[in-house]
Amino acid sequence: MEAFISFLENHFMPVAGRIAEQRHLKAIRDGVVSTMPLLLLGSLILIISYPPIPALEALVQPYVADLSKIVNATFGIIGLVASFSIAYSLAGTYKIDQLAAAILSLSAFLITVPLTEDGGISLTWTGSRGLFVAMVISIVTVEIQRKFVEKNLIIRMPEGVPPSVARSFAALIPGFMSLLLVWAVNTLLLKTLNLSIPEFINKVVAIPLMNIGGTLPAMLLAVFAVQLLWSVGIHGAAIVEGILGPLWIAFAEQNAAARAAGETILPNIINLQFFQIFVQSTGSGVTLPLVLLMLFTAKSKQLKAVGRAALGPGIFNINEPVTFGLPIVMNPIMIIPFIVGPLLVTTITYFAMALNIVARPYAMIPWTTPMGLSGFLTTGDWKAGVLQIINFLVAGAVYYPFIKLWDRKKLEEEKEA
Amino acid sequence: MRILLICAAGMSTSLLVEKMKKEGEKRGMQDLYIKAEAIDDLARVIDDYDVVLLGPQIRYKEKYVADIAREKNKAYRVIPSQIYGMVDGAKALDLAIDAVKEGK
Repeated sequence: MEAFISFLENHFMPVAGRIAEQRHLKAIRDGVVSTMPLLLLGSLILIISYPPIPALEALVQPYVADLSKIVNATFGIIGLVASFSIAYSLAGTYKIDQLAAAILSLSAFLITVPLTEDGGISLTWTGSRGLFVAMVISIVTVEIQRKFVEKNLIIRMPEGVPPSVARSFAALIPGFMSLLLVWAVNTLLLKTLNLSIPEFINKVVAIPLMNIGGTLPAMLLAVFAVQLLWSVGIHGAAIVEGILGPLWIAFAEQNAAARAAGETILPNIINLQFFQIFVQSTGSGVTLPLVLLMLFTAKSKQLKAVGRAALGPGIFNINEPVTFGLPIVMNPIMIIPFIVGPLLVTTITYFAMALNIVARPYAMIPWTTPMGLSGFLTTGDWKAGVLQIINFLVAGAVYYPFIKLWDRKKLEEEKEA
Repeated sequence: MRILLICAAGMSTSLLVEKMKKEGEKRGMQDLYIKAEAIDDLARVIDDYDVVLLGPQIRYKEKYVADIAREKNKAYRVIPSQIYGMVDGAKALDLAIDAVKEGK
């Protein structure tokens, strides 16, 4: 066990850390996360438009069409916004002009997007479907600009020219080249394959990636990684969400779009809320039942104290007092249920939604929303709240024998002292 | 003294902040300012503080924090797991005070 933990510390942790800190992944994450305020606002409007309580439905019905304008301008443009914000983040890491890079990327994105028949910008590609397109386009345009800046192929203004003017001239050549290249590739693809860049990326990258990422085994692997990282005291959710977050958000957005279109059985089971609201309910490891076990059944004074400290934060899904206080971290006994419980919870939740016993999540809500309420709000289905309680009981049953064992050990230590 | 606590979202460290403030009051420390922020905001806010304490769950970002701290000439420490887990305000405050005394 010691050897295993030191392996995690010395090999697994640095690798996971490096992946999460990889420049482009980090830029994608920061860029996508910056669309979060729009997603939260859009979700609120969706919840209002399709209230979870049937009696209210007739009341809001006359306003749904008007409200959908807000949905279109939030969920409907996250791809477009991401083409700006990802480029902005990435340019920041290279210390090149962030605003210029972001504006150029936005422009490049719009060059590729197929227009409507009368020449308008279609919402088809500006939303979640454009998210992967935005990732590719923003990285390509920023990298081109960086190459030009590094090779010093930019127009320099003489001294005395105001910085903002000098900056806009500096962006000219790199900007022109990156737009021209995107346009040329797009035109070439259209002429040869009859596919625009967005359609091509969707076919070759996005759909295969989503087909793999949307499966139960992929989610189980992700959850296992999160729990393993937390077992050595590393914020596993921050790392894994850093890698898979953009994909999960795209899934969430698809569900929201389907809900906005009036569908009741939504396309994706797995998305950001599946992970945050169901699998991570009461914190990574579903630890609130463990807190209650410590509070009400532990004989050791230390465990009772940890239970008291962890109860309040645990209700709001914050559980560091348990992971570090019990501790679960580096504790070979407690790591076992800490990993097994969430894997069971993931499986139960998946099948409850796959068999359509419980509705699938679509609304983005803050991850600090308490269990029961959070499941209800994100799905609009009260049974999702019940599912969270069932998960809570399952996790509790898994923790029970282990915390008993640990309690006895702690009690002996306290007696000796 | 101005102390900055850093974790993934600034949520769990905010628990420790409250305990540290209480301990500061108990010791009668004047001009004590303690706040929790998310790691992504570190570079933006670090100028306002004397010392940075890093939550153990994001110690994989220690190098990132160390680089920024060095650049800005600030002291930083990783909070030990035991102090963090027991939300021990007294020991966390000592850690910050010692870090400022000892320097970078």
